Amino acid sequence: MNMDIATAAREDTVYHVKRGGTGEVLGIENLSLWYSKAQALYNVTMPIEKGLVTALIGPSGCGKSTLLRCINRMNDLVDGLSITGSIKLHGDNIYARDADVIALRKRMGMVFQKPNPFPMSIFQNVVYPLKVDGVRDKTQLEETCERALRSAALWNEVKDRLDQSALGLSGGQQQRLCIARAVAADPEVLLMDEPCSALDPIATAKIEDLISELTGHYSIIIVTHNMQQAARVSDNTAFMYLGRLIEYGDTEVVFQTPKSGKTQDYVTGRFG
Amino acid sequence: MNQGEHSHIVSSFDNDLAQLERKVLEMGGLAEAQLRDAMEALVRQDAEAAQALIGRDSEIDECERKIEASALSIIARRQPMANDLRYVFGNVKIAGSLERIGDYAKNIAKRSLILTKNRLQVPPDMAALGSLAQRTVRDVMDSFTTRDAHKAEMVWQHDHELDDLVARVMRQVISRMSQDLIANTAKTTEEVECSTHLLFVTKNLERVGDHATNIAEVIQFQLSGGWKTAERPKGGDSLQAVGRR
Ligand SMILES: Nc1ncnc2c1ncn2[C@@H]1O[C@H](COP(=O)(O)OP(=O)(O)OP(=O)(O)O)[C@@H](O)[C@H]1O
Ligand SMILES: [Mg+2]
Repeated sequence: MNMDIATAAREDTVYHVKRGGTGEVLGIENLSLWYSKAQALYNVTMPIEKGLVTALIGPSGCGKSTLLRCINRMNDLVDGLSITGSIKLHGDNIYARDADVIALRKRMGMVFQKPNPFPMSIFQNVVYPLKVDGVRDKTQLEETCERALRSAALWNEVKDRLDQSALGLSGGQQQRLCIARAVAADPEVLLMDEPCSALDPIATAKIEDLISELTGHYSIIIVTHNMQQAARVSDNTAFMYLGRLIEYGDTEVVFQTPKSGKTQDYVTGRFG
Repeated sequence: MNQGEHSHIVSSFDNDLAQLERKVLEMGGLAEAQLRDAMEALVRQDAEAAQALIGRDSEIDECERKIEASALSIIARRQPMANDLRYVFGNVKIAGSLERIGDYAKNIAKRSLILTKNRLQVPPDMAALGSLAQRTVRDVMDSFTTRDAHKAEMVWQHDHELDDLVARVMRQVISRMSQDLIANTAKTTEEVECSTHLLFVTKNLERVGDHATNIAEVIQFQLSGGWKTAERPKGGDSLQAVGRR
């Protein structure tokens, strides 16, 4: 993707993308998606800068989760789904016929809107991705577990009960466990779908801290309904509306001097 | 409606912004009135009016505090974004400029007391300069009320006219001082002192114009999100007016 496309208005989208300086990790190009006959995404073209945090905002049902699920091909499991366009990870189309979906998912960590701990111990949950990769070294597993749990601001609460079932944790704790599990896998891209919606303000602040710490190392895409959170944690913000990408670019511009009237109405709370 | 074409989903947010706007308008009206009263007291040599004005200065300070409190409360409770954020932030800046204009008016009133005591006539163009400064404040606050970026731009563009008039009045004061000096009629130090006060009054009016153009810049920022970067057209320089002789 070159500057011309990023800054010029393409279809309806207004672009003013902030560059990370290390290129793009993902290139979403002309992506359209249908659930059976219902179109959920319209021609979305969106370069994701490597090492930056990208926020996806927009009213409920506008297609944020759908777009996120396309990026790690989670939508493959949905009946009647059809997709046109492409998503490239470092230039390779992840929807190519010969693409290795398992390998792809390893490079992408995902944290869902609702926590989804596995029915096993806290420790086993966190190191699950490493075990799948065949890591057996006990010290390495333990170190990774502690590091990941600390990153997710959960270590102090669970360090004495690592062998207890993850299902016994509170909702907010389960969510942080899932974040720890995603971080443990050391993915290139971290996809987060409203990761803080079930968290209290302190845990939320810790997760935001974590996101800031991971910047540069990972590329993070976060869906959030919290405008202040998007403004705080992200470098670029994408505003979606009715399946279309309306405005995409520098977060400061989106929240201070948005270029599109629709974006302005949404971020100032004038929609409805 | 407050900002943009649509109202907020939370209608009390619109009320908060409308209230903030009313406070800024009230403060603008006050600053303009104080400037007018100060200049009238000066030109008519009305010590009573000047004294009354000096006592009223706290009104405008009170306005500024109320605007700051409203803005802080809106930021804390509503977390305004985009044009709302620019509007709230800009109004605090406008209040700061209006407070300074009020200070200059009070300062003019204080100096007019001394001038009146010494029965010193003001230079011929002083009244015109006062009116122009007042009109500039009124025009810029009109452009605030009507959200008229063009009108704000005009205030900004026309500031040099005020600067020209400032330079002219200064020359009038200085020329009288020099004539007194040559004719050796400056009998008392009070007369020199009075002329100096007149120079300060003139300088104050120049500063009023500067604050009005600052407000014009803030209004444009509120409306468009951009700050003026170009240099303003320059008018007569009061430095030159003084350095001339
Ligand atoms: N599996 C599915 N089958 C059919 N339609 C779906 C499916 N998932 C999502 N949709 C529809 O696609 C549209 C976009 O949904 P999506 O979940 O991506 O929205 P969203 O922006 O994430 O909303 P929210 O903020 O509420 O999570 C909606 O109209 C939704 O009903
Ligand atoms: Mg969703």
